Amino acid sequence: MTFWEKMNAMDPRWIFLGMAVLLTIPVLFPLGLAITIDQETTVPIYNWIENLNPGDIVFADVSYSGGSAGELGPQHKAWFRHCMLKGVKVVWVAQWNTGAQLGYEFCLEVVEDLAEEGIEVEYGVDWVYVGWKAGGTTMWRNMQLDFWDACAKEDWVGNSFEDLPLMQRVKKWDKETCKGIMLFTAGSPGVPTYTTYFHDYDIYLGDVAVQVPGNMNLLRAGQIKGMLCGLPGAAQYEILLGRPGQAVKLMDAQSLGHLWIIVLVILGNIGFYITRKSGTPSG
Amino acid sequence: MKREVPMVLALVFAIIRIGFELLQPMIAWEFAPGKTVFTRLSFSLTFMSVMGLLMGLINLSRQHINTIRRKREHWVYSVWLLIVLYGYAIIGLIWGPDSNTFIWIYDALIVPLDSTMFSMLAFFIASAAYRAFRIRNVESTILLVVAFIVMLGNVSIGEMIWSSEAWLGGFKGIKDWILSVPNTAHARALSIGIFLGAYAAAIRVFLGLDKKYLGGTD
Amino acid sequence: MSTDPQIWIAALGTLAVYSYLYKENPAYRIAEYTLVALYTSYSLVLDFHEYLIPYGRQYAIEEGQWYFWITGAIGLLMYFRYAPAEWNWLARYPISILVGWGLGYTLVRSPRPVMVQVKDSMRPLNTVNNVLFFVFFLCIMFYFFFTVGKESKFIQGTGRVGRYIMMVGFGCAFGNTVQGRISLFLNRLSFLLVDWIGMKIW
Repeated sequence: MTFWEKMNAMDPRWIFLGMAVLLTIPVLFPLGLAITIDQETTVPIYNWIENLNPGDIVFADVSYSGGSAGELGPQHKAWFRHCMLKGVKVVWVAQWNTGAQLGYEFCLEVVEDLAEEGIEVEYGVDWVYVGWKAGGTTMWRNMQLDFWDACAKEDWVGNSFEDLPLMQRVKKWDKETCKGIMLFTAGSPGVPTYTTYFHDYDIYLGDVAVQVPGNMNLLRAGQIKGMLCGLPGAAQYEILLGRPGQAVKLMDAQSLGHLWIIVLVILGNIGFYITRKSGTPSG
Repeated sequence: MKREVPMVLALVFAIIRIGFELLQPMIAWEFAPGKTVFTRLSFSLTFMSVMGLLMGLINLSRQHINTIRRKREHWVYSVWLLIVLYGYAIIGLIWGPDSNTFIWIYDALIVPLDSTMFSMLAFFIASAAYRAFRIRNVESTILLVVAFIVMLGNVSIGEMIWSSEAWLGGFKGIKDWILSVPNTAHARALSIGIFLGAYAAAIRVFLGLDKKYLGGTD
Repeated sequence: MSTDPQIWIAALGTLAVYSYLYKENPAYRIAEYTLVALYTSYSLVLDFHEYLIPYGRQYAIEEGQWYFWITGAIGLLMYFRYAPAEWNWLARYPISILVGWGLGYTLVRSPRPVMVQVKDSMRPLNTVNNVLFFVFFLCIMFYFFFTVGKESKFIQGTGRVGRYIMMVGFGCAFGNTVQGRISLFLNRLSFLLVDWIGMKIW
């Protein structure tokens, strides 16, 4: 058995081990590689919040669950932090029942962090988490028609809308009230709900990387105005906020992980061609 | 009664919904002050669907009880599944989803297990990259070259190798162009193709040509 | 190292799932079955407490809207799916109503987002990118829709270009999938290192 034949028959666990080691090293010892800000996708979202007035209300949607929290969690936290710092009020809804609680916890984390920095954010005044409501896209249509009625006048933790000052300003989900929609999405239901019923609103996406190529189509058509693309999107947003966080620190590991995949593809192909020439094809 | 009435019901409700969606005055119909017919109808239909909330539990239970009864391979895990299934459901139903125990379990198990399951794909992609990503023809070469550019354009190391301030905007510049021109053309054609297929399927159901949703044979 | 039992359970669950990378084993299986069971129960509880109870209480009981009782009763017919063959057709009633309701939405509303995209595809051909986009888009459409007339050189040529552009799209998808999956692993890794082991990385 030649070297390349052995390489072709390599136990995949070595590949797994290589991957794990290469991803762990830069997490422990960051390389501090520069991160470029994406002007077409990330910056429009940052500018949108920057240009809003304190007191303006935006809506945000949690359409993901634990499976994509690694990408959307840092985006969610960075964006929400920005809103709170700017005094922009946020009303959260959730199209995914499995991620609604997680989204709420991410918001609480941001509020706690801000409190540690001496910035007080008050639930019911600065933000409200309406959370998940059954009924899918039709429910969102009902929210558009009569927000209070559709939500049974209750938020995620059981507070009555009557007791939440912010909700006194959100009797309706209309263009007068809502200065844009931020949707963190990992799949369906997700974007179509908004491009169907809320097409005349400014819609922004926090997207998982897998969906980015597909959703570039919406960006080009103007159906969405900006998009945070996976973990790099979160890292770029953290940099724009001037507070590099977890996403920024994980980006070095992303680099090595990508390099590892590229090396594997190249090695795999070299092995494939050499063994094919010698008459023992594989792969 | 068995097939015709359900088909007529589907048609009638489809027409009602079409009316609500198309006719602006219809969506504003109120049967009492502040209560539109559309919202009440859609709430009550959601209420109808939520009535089936036990279906998942029943299906899963039937499948695993069957496995246990027949002592199929891994039946012990089915016992565990049923304990967790009913245990968590009882906790949630009695104390509610806001209860500390319910949320504690959600944070301790659902979120981390779900995250980890998906993250394992990173390893399988690495393995597939080594074993299956082969240059065999023009198509696979294009795929591979584009994948390399996109990967390098996505991360900082690509920026180090070929800066976005250099010729053609470096890997990032090329990646951005690929994403916004050929890739978008592909995504759009795909989106239109999928829409046409789904719409044709919807029309078939509407016209009663496709009755698979009724299930059964009689 | 963390002393929080919740963190410990989450960490052991994470390691149990990753143990599959070494080989199939009971720890992985337990984690897998646990997740399936928990998700099923979680959805059930949310449906019950977030919809059935509050909406039932408000609309069916407090506001006395009688039709909620009727739709609720029709909804219960779904369970006839498990009844003997001579009765299980009753389950079709709620399903057909819900299918019809969804169908009306699809027929009227689903074309709009796609039509916006079709309209956007017809941009003035005044830039190189617009021209290229339009050509690429047409080539893929040719590849998809001209399944007849394959003997024509023009159809063959455009179809081939369409296929190449689709490979570009798949290459983008692959590149981004790599990024996404690595991000998910890094999330778990940072949980293990920071939250569980207690390393001060950030």
